[in-house]
Amino acid sequence: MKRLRLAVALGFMSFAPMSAWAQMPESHPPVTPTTQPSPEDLDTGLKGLLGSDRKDNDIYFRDVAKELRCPTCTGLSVLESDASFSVQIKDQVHEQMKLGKSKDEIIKYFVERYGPWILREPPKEGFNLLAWGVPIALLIGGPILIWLLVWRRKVQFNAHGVRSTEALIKEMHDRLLLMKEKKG
Amino acid sequence: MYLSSKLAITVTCASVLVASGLLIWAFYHRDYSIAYVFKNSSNDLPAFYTLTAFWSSLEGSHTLWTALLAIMGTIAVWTSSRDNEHIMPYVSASIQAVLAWMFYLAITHSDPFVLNLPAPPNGRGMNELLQNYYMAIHPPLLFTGYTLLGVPFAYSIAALCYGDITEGWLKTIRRWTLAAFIFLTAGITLGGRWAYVELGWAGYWAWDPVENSSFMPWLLATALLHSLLVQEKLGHLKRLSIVLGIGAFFMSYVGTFLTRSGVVSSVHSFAESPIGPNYLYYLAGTVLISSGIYAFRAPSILPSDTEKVWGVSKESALVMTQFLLLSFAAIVFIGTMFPIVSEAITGQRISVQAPYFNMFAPWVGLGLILGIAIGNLMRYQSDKIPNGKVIILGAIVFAIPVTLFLIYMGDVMATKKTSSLIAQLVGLYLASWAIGCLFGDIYFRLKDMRFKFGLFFDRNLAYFGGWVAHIGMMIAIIGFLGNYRGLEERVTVHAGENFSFFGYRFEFGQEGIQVKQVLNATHYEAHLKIFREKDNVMIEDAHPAQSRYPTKDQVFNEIAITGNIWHDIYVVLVDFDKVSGKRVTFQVNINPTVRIVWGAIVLMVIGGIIALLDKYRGNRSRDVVAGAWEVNS
Repeated sequence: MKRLRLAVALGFMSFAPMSAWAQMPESHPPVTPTTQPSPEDLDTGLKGLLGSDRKDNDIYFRDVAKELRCPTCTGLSVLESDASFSVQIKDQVHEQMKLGKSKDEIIKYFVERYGPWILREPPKEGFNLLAWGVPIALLIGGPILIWLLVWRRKVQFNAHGVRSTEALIKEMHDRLLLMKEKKG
Repeated sequence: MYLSSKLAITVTCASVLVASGLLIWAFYHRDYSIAYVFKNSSNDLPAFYTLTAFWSSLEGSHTLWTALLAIMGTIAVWTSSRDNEHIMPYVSASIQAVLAWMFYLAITHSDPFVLNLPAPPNGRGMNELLQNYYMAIHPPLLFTGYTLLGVPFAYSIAALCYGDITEGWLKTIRRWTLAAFIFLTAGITLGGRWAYVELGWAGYWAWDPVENSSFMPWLLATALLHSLLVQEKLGHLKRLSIVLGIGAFFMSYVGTFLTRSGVVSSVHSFAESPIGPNYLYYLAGTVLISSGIYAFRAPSILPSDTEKVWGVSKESALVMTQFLLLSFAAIVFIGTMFPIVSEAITGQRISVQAPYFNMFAPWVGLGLILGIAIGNLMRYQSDKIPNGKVIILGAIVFAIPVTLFLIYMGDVMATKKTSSLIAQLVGLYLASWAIGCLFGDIYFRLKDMRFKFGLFFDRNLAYFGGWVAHIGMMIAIIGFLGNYRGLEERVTVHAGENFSFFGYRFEFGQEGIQVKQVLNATHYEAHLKIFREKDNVMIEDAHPAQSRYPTKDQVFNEIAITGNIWHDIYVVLVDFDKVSGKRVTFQVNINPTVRIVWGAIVLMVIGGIIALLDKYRGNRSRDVVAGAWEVNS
């Protein structure tokens, strides 16, 4: 049984780095739009209505915009929202991209302007480490704790699979104590 | 004395129902002399929504809460079995205590009957986003779920006060928790559907505080169901069941607190709204009283007579399942509350949104897949899995063609643009493997009974219900994985032009934007014919629109959704040229496997209902069933 447990544990452990790798962002090749731009679109330089541009489909832009929160909605990124504030931020992202900034630089620019609140997840520093650390500690430490506290508590058996006399006597003794406590 | 307590809760229930009826009557007759009606209704509101306006805001939803809780309390008191008679005084007292607090709120901070004289001729109108069919049924379902959890809570407190757990206790609490599970699952899903068809961001779950607060009680109720299973079979985990029974109801109150006090969306409205601090006192008081009772009375709940053989066994798998559910609840709780805590301590404003939760959810999902697949095969107090090798290896082989089928039909390769391919494939494979394990499990169980289906379903409805719900859960995970994928495209076209996307051709009609009056709203509709390019068949004449309500100067999305079971085509009319109406920006989303999620959750609900119908567990609490519990008790 010990071997099985070891195998399960090893399986889990080997899975962790694999999925961490799976979580890593892939390098996206630029995608050619599937739509045929109409002549008017070419004339106006892809500019759509009210900031809702064709260039919103750009994968690099989407990568940045999905990490910034929509200031006026709950739970959405600017990418998913067409609130006026979000459209403004999207325009700013486009501007920053035109300046040739990288994703990290653009995000840094927004954090400097609006504070870390503009990010959709807390930055991994200072007090915020707590928000990241506690769940990780819980998910890793919890099973270990359960194993230590519960699973390892073994009952003594004799050769025929019957509980040993010592264990039975101890159990009855405990039970008696409890009953006494209840009465008194 | 006992009868009078029954009558008392019945009278309470009747009075709350009369109050609710009065409020509905006031809405129906558009009686604007009542401030709540004035704020949430208007002359142009369709009759159907005048009814739902009842719970569209703080005071009314409190009244609905109170009414439902009183109904649940009354049912619980009148249907109690003889087994539970000795604890019924505690049960009805607990429910009455909660009700008392709701009444206190109703007369102080959320009085639905505040007068507004002289009566204005027209109301301010109901929130436009709530004028949707799903919004009409989803809050009552959720509230029913929340209040159903009130009964396990009362029984838990009662068991602590009395100092013992009887067989009837377990059966009653199982029945109520299952019912709560069914209603919460349905309510949360319909809420998701509302977000999907109404908000226009092509998703249904954003991990926002309102959603989280409905998800946490669900997680705790589900954990409670699994701990009750161990308790029923072996008598262990009694105290855990009690803690979960209290915790689940407490969480539904935390949820109401979060959504109703406005703590989360803005920390500053906290101090202004008088109901926020009141809720906080109440929650703190509940924690204090419950944990006080628990601390003093828990030792009197005796441990079970059966042997504690944990090791590798079904009870261990169930404990792990509960651990996963509870830690998920903890993560959701931390994520929801952290912005408040952080601002209070460091003064820095931060946001915790979907990316945070999406970081942890796959890991919990992975654990749940393994737990469901292997745990269902295990047996109590035994580290041997009967036919284990055949089932697990068979499922490993079975999963390969299933995964390939899912990859092909779900267009995984074409829609992976926004997510990682490896996580998708691993997830699809493991979920199919778990489904294979579940089918193997039921096959061998049936084989053991020589395929006597009548006998099997007569005796094992609870098992079968769980089986259906677990299959539903696995299919839902396959569906969730699809929602991590997906494609999105924004296109600006002129009237009469067409564009192609993902094998579909979209033809925007010559006539441009058309104005239409639908009930109380003005719709600006675009006619978009969607053709399948492969065989040039028109699959939908879609009408994505923007709507404008007379009471508010703001536009709302009316989304066109079509497609098949493998992907939805989700078309939002983002913007249009207001002068000519001939130039329009559409956003087209291809959302894979959304319908699979809806179907899977229907399966989970059906599973819950099947489990509830089991004759031998729950429904007739005085039935004697041969099993470990009865032998020992």
